Amino acid sequence: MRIKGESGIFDYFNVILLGLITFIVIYPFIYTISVSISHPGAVAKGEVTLLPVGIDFSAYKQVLSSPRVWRAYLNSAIYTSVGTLFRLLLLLFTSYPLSQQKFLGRNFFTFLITFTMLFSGGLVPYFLVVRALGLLNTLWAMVIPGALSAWNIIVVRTFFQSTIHPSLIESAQIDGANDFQILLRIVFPLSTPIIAVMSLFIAVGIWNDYFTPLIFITDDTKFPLTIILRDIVVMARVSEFLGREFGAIPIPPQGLQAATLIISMIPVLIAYPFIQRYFIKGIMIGAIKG
Amino acid sequence: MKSIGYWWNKRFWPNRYLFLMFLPGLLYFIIFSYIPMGGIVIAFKDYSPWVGILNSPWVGLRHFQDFFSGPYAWRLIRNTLLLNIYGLIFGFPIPIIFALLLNELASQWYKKTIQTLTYFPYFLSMPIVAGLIIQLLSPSSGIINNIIVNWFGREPIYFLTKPEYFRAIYISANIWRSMGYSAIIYLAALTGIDPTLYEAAVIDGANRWQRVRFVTLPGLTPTITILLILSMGSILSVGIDLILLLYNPTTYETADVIGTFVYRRGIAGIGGAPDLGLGTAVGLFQSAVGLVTILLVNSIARKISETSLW
Repeated sequence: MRIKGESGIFDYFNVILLGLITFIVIYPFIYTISVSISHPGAVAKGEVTLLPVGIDFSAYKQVLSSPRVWRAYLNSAIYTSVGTLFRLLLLLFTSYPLSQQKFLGRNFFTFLITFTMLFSGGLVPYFLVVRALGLLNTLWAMVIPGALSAWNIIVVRTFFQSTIHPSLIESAQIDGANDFQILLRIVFPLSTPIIAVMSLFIAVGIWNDYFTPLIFITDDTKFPLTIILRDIVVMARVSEFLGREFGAIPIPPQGLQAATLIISMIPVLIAYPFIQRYFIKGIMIGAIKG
Repeated sequence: MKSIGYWWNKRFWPNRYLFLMFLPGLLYFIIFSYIPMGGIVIAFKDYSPWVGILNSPWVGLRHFQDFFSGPYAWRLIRNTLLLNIYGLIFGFPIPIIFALLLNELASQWYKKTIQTLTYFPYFLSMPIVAGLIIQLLSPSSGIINNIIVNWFGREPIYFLTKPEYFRAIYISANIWRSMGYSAIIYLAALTGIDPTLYEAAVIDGANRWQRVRFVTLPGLTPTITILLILSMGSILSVGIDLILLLYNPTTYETADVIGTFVYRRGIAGIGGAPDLGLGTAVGLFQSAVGLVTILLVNSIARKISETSLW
């Protein structure tokens, strides 16, 4: 903690050091953006190190003309929107009863849920269950498995306990409201901060999920963006996905890969201001529980 | 002793809607957590999907014997432990130091900008992270090899095919990705420190370093303890998404871990048909060690400090 008016060599050093660390953290993005918009010839010769060399958007044109990229984008959008709604409702419905003293078996159920944080049956039995349910290669494979996490339930339950005064619920009950009505009319409107945080957690989780589609989705028309990205930027199957020879000068694979990376980051960039605002709150709520 | 009628009429029936609400979540945990736990019996059976779990013959500990006497067990355990230990040694203090440095900044604007920029990588998917790494390390066009070739006049290094570089790449990538995120947790904990403690320290003549040492760090200790206990519980599991994206048979020597082995042999069936029994057995070994470690570490933490998970 710095005391007002106090400053010394350390402060100058600190400002420079943190600036340097930040530059290192964002360098990969600057580099990738530069590669994606540089002139194809310069990229091929490896002349790009920091700033773009020439300006050329043909890599973006080629990536955006690929139906497979669009398909994957659409799939990811569907999985994320359906999944977020489903998982959020399930989370709220599961957490609310656990926050109520009168809920019979509350401690037992809480234990049942927290125990899943400590022990699991492992990947293979989990996979077999999902397969036996016939979820493979369906939208639901991206939505239902992994829908609830014990951690989120504890955070939401704690939020309900600390924010919603029991007398509010009691008086609603006296007025003849049942628990569903109380949840929808009283609890939800008072819980918008936690609902916002959890929606973002869940949405980012599904959008970025790589392992779930890796094991549960094998039909290539159903691949989300993460799997297509792996094929293009990690397995370097560039021409297979993005076509060949688009402009006068062929764009080198790393230019196309860079453009693909940037395009796939756009939704996260757009959501980032909200994410930043609410995630910090979310971490704080989680930290209170500790 | 209260009668069944009491429980039903007074405790259950008035709250029936709460049960109804809770039911889907309960079913979720039964289906996706507890039934798989029951599926652990596969680890002790010669499981064949055609005859079902119940009718498959018992084989006792054969899958465990196969695994531990096989050539991979030691390598997988070693790689998993080393990635975790190096991850802890380098990955644990860095966000703390980063948060402490941020906390000393005078300019709130500068602090906020740095946080915004360093927090961002945490929200990228692993294939994007892997893609960025591949771009940076590419032997033909990557910046690192450009420096090696153009400045030092050496041959380019094929980093991702050399086992000796894998751990450093994996751990750096994880630090890069989560440093800003973890720092926020510590900064949140720092706001909880009572400002009068600092005032008192100043009156007592504590200099800046002493204030960090005797006020700030003790204030962070509970958070640090909790995060350490949690990370000990996963000592035999590492995040495998990035490994699956970056490793290949030439780097298995250092990159193949228990989790990737279970995925490869138990589900994907790379290098032979999926061996469900072996995969389950190795997964059980991993879960069991995790459970024992977290119980152990938690009880130690409870004895030597005031902070523990429960």
